[in-house]
Amino acid sequence: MEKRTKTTKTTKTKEWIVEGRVWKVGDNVNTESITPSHWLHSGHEPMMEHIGEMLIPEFPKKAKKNDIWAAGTNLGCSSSRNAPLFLKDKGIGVVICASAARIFYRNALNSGLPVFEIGEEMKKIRMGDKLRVHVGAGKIENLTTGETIQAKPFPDFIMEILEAGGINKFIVKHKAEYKLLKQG
Amino acid sequence: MPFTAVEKILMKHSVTPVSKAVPGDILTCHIDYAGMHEGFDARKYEQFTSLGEMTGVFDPKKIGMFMGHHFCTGHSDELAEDQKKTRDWAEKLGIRVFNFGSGIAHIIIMEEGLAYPGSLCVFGDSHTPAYGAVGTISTQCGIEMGQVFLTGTLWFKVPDTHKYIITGETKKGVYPRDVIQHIVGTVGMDASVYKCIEWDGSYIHSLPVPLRFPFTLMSTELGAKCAYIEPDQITVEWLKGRVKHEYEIVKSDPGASFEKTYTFNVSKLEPLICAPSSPENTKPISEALGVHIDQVCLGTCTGGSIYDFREAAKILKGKKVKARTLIIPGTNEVLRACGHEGLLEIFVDAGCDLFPPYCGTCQTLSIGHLAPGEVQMHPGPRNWPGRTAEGSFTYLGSPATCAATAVEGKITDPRNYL
Repeated sequence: MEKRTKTTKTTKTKEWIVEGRVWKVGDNVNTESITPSHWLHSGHEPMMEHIGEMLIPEFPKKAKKNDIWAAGTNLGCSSSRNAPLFLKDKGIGVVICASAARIFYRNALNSGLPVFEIGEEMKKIRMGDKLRVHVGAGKIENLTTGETIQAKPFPDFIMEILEAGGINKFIVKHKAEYKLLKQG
Repeated sequence: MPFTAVEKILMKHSVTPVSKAVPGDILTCHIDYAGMHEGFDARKYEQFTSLGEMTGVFDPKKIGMFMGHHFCTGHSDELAEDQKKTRDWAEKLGIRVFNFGSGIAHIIIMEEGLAYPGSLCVFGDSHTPAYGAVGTISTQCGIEMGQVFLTGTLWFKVPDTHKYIITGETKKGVYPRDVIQHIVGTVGMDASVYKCIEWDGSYIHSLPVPLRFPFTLMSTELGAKCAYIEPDQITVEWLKGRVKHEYEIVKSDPGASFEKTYTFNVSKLEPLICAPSSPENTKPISEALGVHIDQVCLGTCTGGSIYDFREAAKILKGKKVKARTLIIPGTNEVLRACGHEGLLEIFVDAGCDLFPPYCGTCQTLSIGHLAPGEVQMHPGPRNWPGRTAEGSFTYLGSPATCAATAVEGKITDPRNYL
């Protein structure tokens, strides 16, 4: 899970690049339609085989490492299930949307999956486009259309959580600061 | 400078003292109560074990694990094992465990006074804004719960506040569940994304506390981060004997700035239903009359209070149900009240089936799963696809509409029975 095969990242330059194709869904997409209860209940493997199929039938079969999940407004509304973590497990390298629902947004960042909210600019990204996303700088290059979109970069403390691979890995990395964790 | 209630509560809990907070500021805050329910797999437990060995938690009295909000183990060895692991882990750390059959976590947290006016709470479920009904600021916290359990703190972005002012008196046959359905249907599910919703107005303040839950809890269906109702005399009375310590009621200052204000008058509303398959798909009941319903659930977090069961019992008394009908009290307190008031007898005599306190069939994880093609109705907050079987459908309605529908086995106007 940890290896980002096509992602290059060095701490010094903060260059973390995700390059892949876009899987785009509409507005108000709820987490249950990304990760339905009956598959969640069946375990991780079945979930991976069926993730997102209610929205894009071919997604679970064709999604590749470092592909991009894109959406309209209020992405990931409804249930608090960690749909972003499952998307990340499926290989999604970055999420780009007009806006994200709070729980989805926070779950994603805390799972080490960047989410860029770009509002109206979302119309410049279509299903199947190829994008190159510079995570640290918030720069999104649409390699299909040649357009570039500038998203708001993350504050440093969020970037640290993302780079650690999520909040829990961040905690492990800073174990000494957590007095209730057994040290050593 | 005047502040909103959410700004004041976040400021009051800030680890670093602050004299000002405006929307967009990020504050790290102390948490008064944190809880979570069981996961869909072992991940919720693994999110703690992946941190290494925890020698303790910030304060075991301020944490609860709700093992029965969603899942009974059924015949699953895996689930039973997961629950045992989680239970053993929680007990070792001194964390209270609420078992299957104890009911809906959010309601228990308010009934037991764990959330109280002015407090700041987090829980691993999207409907956590519910505790705003007692003047708490509460919001969902999931994968970050390790941070909370270890330090008792979490960072928050200070949200803008949207005020929803609800006035008027409802006509016969119209209930709070209809009113919130009307609001969601009118303004839409993205009306208040990432906002705090402050519910106000004579209608809201006329309701008993449990009938305020549908508004704060379903603030999630409006996209909100958290919700808040200014505690009044009704709140203070309801909390007597529940909160066993002093608390400070925190209110929005006069002149505080609300980003948006919505106003609704409920006087002309008719009973409503929410049709498949999105919580904003609101319709007048007249448009759905006669739709065949296989299963009715009376219960859920927005229809499982004693007030809801009283309304349902008025309709079911002396009748026989045609739809299979599940009675699922929200909590043990509600179950006890139903028994004490003779409602359980009415339900059983009407041919309903009684289940332990639980979250209901809004998401059919343990009880009342549907077959493809089947249609259910319940008073819960959601009817999205993916919450029950593929190819099944869910209508939402007030507890009274659900009861009338149970009697006829098809969507029925509750006013016919009132």
